[in-house]
Amino acid sequence: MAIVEIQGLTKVFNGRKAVDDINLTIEKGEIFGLLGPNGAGKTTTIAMLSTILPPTKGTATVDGCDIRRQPKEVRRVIGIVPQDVALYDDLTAAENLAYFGKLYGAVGERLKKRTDELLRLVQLKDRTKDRVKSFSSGMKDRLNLAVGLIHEPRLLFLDEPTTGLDPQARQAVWEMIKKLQAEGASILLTTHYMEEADYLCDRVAIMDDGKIIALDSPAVLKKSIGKLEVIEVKATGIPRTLLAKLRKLRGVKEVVQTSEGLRLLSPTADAILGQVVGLITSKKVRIDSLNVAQPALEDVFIKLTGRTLKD
Amino acid sequence: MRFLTITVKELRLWMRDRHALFFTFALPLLFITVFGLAFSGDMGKIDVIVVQEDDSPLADNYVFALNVVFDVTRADSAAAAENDVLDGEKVAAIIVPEGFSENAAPVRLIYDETKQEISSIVMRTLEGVTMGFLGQQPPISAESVSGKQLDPFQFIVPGMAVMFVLMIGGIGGAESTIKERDKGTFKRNLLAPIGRASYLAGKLLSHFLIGCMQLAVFFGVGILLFGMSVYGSLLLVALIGALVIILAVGLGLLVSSFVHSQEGASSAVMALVLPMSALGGLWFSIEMMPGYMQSIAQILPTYHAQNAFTAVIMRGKDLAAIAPSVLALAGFVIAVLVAGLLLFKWEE
Repeated sequence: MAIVEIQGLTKVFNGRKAVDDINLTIEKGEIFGLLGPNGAGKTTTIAMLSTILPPTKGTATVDGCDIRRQPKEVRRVIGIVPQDVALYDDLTAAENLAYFGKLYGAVGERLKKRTDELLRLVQLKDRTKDRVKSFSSGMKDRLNLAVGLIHEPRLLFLDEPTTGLDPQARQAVWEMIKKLQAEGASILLTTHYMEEADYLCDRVAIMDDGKIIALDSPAVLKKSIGKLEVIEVKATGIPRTLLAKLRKLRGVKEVVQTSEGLRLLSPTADAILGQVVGLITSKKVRIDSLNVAQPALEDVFIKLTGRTLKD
Repeated sequence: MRFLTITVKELRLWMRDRHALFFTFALPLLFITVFGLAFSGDMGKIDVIVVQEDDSPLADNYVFALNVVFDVTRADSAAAAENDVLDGEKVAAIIVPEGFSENAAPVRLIYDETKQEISSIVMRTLEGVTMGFLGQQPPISAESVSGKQLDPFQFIVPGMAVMFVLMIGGIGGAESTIKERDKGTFKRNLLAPIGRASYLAGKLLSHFLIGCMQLAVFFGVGILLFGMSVYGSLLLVALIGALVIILAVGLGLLVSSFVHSQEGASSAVMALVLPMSALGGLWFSIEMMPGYMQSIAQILPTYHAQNAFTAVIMRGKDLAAIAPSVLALAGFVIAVLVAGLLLFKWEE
């Protein structure tokens, strides 16, 4: 059973296609990842699915309800956790939850029970009656997530849920997402952290320039790029000419510059390692570390576009 | 009825904002008290200097008459008196010259033109006293029209009420929407399965209720604490009040669609409401202004609100008598509200 079916969804802003004729089905109970660099069209897609942005062309159904014709029904099904915290600072944690719960039509004992449940889930039970303005940013993030869950949504949209979090906090959010899936929710997640998608998602769609350029499970996607290995080079001050030289090297499929240094895709990583090191040192670039690894989802994007996600 | 959830939330946030509470209730009450008391009681006589150079009994009597209408200080020479006026110590000096009794020399008035209003009162009073004294005009027989006591609170309470309801409704209404946009809660509200109409109804109702509380407190304090009488119907007062509150709520809505920062919203509302209050006669009666300014005043909603309020409160007029002002006010209410609703921005 599908929870989301997207048919030919398109959004044009000032003549530019932000989302270009995408087709997609998300199954019930799935964690589905939407990956891509900034501006790829992820946020626009989510905005259309959440009925706050009308599509230029095409449509989609969420749990059988059309996003154009039945926006209220769609909104009842979906829970949205915005990337930036959206809460009332002068209301308490419980009041924020109760307010949004009531907007979704929850009342009385059921609302109270759900509020308690969520406060426990996000570990804010002891801060129930404190105003949000006294919270740390981590606590606000957790309450922000809880508010998105107050009406027991069948489909949850998480927009960059771990951006700006430290590794420990990120791990905690990941565990929570897994837990929500175990409770039966379907989740649509946007991220530009490939390892996040790799760890969490059952399937991912990679978006670039408004289009879906790859769609499958992380494992299959990684296999799809062939028997490639990755040479990760950590170094600073790499000149552009070096990239061109490396690209011409026999056995190198793709080279991109990352925030930390270089990433080379090659079917014969071990064999060309010496040449790579030689070329880099000949340009007087000091190598901080060198590593041969199995491809990650990031490399799928590199292989497909010749760019990294941060570009 | 989900808009009531929004109304309750808005009121709760408002009650937790001490700053807002101060501006909503305490500041206006302070204004009402200070202005009401300042205008209460006798105006007090104006201080003038009198130099009597003619010592005939006629001149003695004339100076005695001046003593009745002015607070007279005697001086010996015209030069000294003129100096006092020049230094700003007294508003005017009246010189009764030699030959006054023989009608050979006119009374001289030396006045300070920088204190125009008081000077002109002195001048006219002096003219009156002098003419009457010389037997050229019969003494005045004064009769008050209504037979009712002048009570400055009957003017100050509605005046300050209109000004502060417009100010708080405008600023509060605009700020709450702008703040929601900044915080991202605006989008979160719209993502819930409520209609746009419910969202706006919830917001506007909360600000309408705040305005009602303001009017209840201001008129309550005026009537119960300061003994202000309302000669006309309280229902009419409530009707005019309701129109003013809706105008304020509409103003807030309209401002929120043009201004994007909270500071900008309060500046914009102040820039609109303060001049409208002064010109519309909320601070003092517009009869004190020149004719063309009075004409401008009559195109302002503040003027019509105050006009209708004072007609009911001071003169006990009925609906038919205040209908023109009520209709003008209603016209403003509809125009502002419709513009606010049409221009409201639903995008982030």
